[in-house]
Amino acid sequence: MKKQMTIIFIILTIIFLTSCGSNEVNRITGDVANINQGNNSTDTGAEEQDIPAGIESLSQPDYKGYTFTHSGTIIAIDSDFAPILKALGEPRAYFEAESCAFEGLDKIYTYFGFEIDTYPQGDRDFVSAIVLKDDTVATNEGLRIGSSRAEMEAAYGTPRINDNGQLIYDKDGMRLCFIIDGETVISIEYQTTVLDL
Amino acid sequence: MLFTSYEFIGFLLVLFISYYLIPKRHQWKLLLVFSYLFYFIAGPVYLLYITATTITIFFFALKIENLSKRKDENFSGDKKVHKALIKNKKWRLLLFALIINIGILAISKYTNFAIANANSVLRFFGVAAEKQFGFRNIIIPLGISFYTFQAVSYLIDVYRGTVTAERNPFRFALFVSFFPQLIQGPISRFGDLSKTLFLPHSFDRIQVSYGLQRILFGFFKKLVIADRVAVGVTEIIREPDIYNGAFVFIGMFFFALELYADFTGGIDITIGVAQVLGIKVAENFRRPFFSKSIKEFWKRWHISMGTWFTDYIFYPVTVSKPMLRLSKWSRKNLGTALGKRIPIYLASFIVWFTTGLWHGASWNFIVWGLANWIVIMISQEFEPLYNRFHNRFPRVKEQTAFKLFQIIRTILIMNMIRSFNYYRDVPLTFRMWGTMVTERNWRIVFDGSLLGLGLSMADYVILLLGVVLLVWVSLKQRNGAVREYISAKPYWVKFVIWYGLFLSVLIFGAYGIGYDASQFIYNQF
Amino acid sequence: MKNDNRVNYIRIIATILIIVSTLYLLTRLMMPKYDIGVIEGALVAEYYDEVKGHDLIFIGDCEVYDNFSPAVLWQDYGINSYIRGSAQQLIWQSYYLLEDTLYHEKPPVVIFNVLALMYNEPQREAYNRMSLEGMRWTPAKIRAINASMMESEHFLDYVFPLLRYHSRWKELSSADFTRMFKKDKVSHNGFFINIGVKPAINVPEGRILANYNFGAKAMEYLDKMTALCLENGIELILVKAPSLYPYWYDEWEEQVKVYAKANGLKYINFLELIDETGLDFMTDTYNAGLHLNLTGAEKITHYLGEFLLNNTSLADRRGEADLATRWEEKLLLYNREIERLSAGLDVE
Repeated sequence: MKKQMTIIFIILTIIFLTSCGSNEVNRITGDVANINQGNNSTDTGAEEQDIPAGIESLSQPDYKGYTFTHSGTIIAIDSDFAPILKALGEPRAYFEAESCAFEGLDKIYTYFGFEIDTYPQGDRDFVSAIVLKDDTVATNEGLRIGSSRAEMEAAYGTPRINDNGQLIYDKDGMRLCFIIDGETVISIEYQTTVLDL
Repeated sequence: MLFTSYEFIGFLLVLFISYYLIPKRHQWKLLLVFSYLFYFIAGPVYLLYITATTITIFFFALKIENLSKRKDENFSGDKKVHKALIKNKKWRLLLFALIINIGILAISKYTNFAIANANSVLRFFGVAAEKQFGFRNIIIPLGISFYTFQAVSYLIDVYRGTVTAERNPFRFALFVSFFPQLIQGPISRFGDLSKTLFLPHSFDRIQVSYGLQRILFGFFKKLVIADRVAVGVTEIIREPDIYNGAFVFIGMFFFALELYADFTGGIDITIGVAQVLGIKVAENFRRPFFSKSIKEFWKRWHISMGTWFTDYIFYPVTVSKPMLRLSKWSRKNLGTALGKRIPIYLASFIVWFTTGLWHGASWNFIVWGLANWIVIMISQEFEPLYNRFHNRFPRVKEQTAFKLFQIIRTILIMNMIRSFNYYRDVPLTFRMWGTMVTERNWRIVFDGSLLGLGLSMADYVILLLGVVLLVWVSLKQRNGAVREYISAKPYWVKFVIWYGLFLSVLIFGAYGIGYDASQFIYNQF
Repeated sequence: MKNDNRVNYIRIIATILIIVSTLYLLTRLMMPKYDIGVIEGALVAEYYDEVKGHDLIFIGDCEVYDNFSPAVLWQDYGINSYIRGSAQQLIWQSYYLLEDTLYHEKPPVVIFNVLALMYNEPQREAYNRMSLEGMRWTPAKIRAINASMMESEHFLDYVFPLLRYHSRWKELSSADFTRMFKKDKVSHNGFFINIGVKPAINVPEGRILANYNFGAKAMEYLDKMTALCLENGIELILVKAPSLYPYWYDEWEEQVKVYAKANGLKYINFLELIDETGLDFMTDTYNAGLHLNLTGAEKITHYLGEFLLNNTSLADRRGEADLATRWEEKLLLYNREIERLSAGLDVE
């Protein structure tokens, strides 16, 4: 009796061991190694490491996530806005959006073809969003308002879709969001994730 | 459910109260229910894994013990042959159970590490990225390294005949799943823990208050010290290019403090919880930073893990047949001096390699383990040299200054080795070590740069006071238990001490929304 | 022996007293002093000090407390009103504030500002705090908290605010000590006076959205609000304050119109009444079109007053002596505050 039970348990163990893991195959790029360093706070004792650390050293990019380039100036999400403003020059229009109750100002700088939003942190402003407004400008990967869905997927791969139906590409803690009407891109927006709580 | 969550505190309150209200003979059953509940909350799927380990080890241990008993009763036939047969059968059962359980551990924890390594080999041979292996989404059950080791130690002990197999599967299940030690140890031995785990316990005011005091002190270490200094550590690691030179050196101390406060704080909570329940869990630390050598350090830090590796890896490997053969061969061919060393060094190499691997599935940990091994081996080789020195200057050894030198040296070496654990990869770690020599940026200590690590002056003051308290407690401990020392004081003195500690956790603890890094918007409150 | 026992009892009682009182004092000390800081956080609590019996209760976000002046409604129309709004007050928070209000009084008319429909999830813990903390403990508050909490929040933090604000020890100022037990009134029946002027120029147009439908949770609470008013014989009126930013999409407008019609509710969109109200976005807003300043608020309040007297059961109550005396006092404070602000005495 006991022998039989033992055998059954062994078989069960083996079955569930082989079954888990095989269903979902994930490809993880090297970048996760960096993220992984963050949750090191427990240590020697705790061993939970979900993602394997990268084996080889990874060179870090100078800019975070997808970037937008306008007349030679590279604009990246969450970067300090002061040097960018200097390089781009006076905007066509400027708007300060006060948030209810808090003193910090979210600022909107409108240039021909695109807008840049900033959020304050300390005494500096950082880029929170870049919005492409018309087809005179394009992403670094060549997408512009009016491009097709196929072009978008060719440039960025398959997007994830959020609750509102936006198509999203996440990269290095920022996201590039598209809105498609029919088969045509009607909105392109780079967004920070720092402000989502 | 983190130890430092409201939920855990609520969980403990319900457990403590019901534990002492129900009939004593049912107490351990209640513990089993709560342990499984604790694990269930962490992740229902995890239960599959822990029950698989529990059941297989339980049955195999029983089988092995039954075989051992049978041999005494059976007199017919050739005793020797029969004995050998039994021994062989036991060995195969043991091996089978080990393969299953170490297998579960290995597959869930190391598959992706193996894939990453295989891929880098493929890359070396020019295989395109698309053709390499994809990583797999594998569940790593909470605390699997700890409970697997604990269960395996029991199995081997039964095999060796040093403990009697538990006949009640539920009691054994409690031993494996006892929740306070599930997440981070200590790795208790069945012989130790079973002495108090299943006994009926009456409410003992002194033990309960000592237990609660220990839990409180654990919270203090974890929330006030570890989680506070963690902010600085994370920042230093996050931007190695900015935080080089002196920052690397300071980062090592920050990390040592974080690790110590985090880990011993957690263990304090574990042991404290057990103490409130009347259960004795063995100590896992003995003032490790007072160690005079790395070897001594490892006898005083994470003790239950060190002894586990000694008992279940080092010892069996040294007396294993291939090792004995190697020993014989090397003595014969390489001379006694070297020949004697080789097997020992090889065995400890295996111990440190597996220790590293056990800590985490990455080369960082493996290199960290081997770095420990190298330092220990070197200091062993230098021992004759030290001895000669001390024979020549016999008084040096006794001097406080020399002892202090040894302690500081040990701390520094451990700091260096530990940096493998937290930098992104091994080459980066070496590079950062290099910057400590090349970058002469010591001014950062005074020019306010340290305030840019996310820690304010107020935080540093709290940390400093916290460290002073830790050192005081450690020094005091050398002459006996601190809680006993305090409990002998008048009521209001005790009250001020413990309530003060409680308030400092409540106010200065780095918990809650105000401490979430992404919450900068609240600075305006 | 007996003596020993007595000493023990006294000791236990003293211990408990010390613990309770220190924790209470620490909580008072650590809580943000909204009335001298982010004053929007003080709005919700002020309602409880009022004599009840209002004709009209406003519920909503900054679009109510910045844009409608109860003082004007009384002075010129004899309508006794109160605004229960706070910064980014989500629709479920407005709903539960209405439930909370019903524990105290049953106003004949309730006005809800519809901007909050755009949020289907809680946005910021800080806003949750400001909307919820001031509420008195009732089942409505418990439900409001449960409906509002973000993932990082915990119910206990609302029960024991010390757990939430303990980290403020680093930034305590002398005001935290001197103002532990004292609070100044910041609003005038929930209205927050602002006399600054910042013309609305360069207001960005609305960005393209992937989905223009209000969220299910937001609509669910609008339904609940409608039902609650119906049950209690309250007339619910929907309004949209004339804010240029955040952008009010046509698609949103359409949904509100359809809803109002289907439920027999009156709906006033002040964005479409710029000429009728005489609003001038060069002079009537203090932050470039987001909120109105005093002159702007008074303009649309006049329109609203007329509308209410002509289209609802509300009547001019200026003849009621008690009420008139109370309001006389209120108007005195209201005018004094305007004078103070105009004289530039407001040092911010």
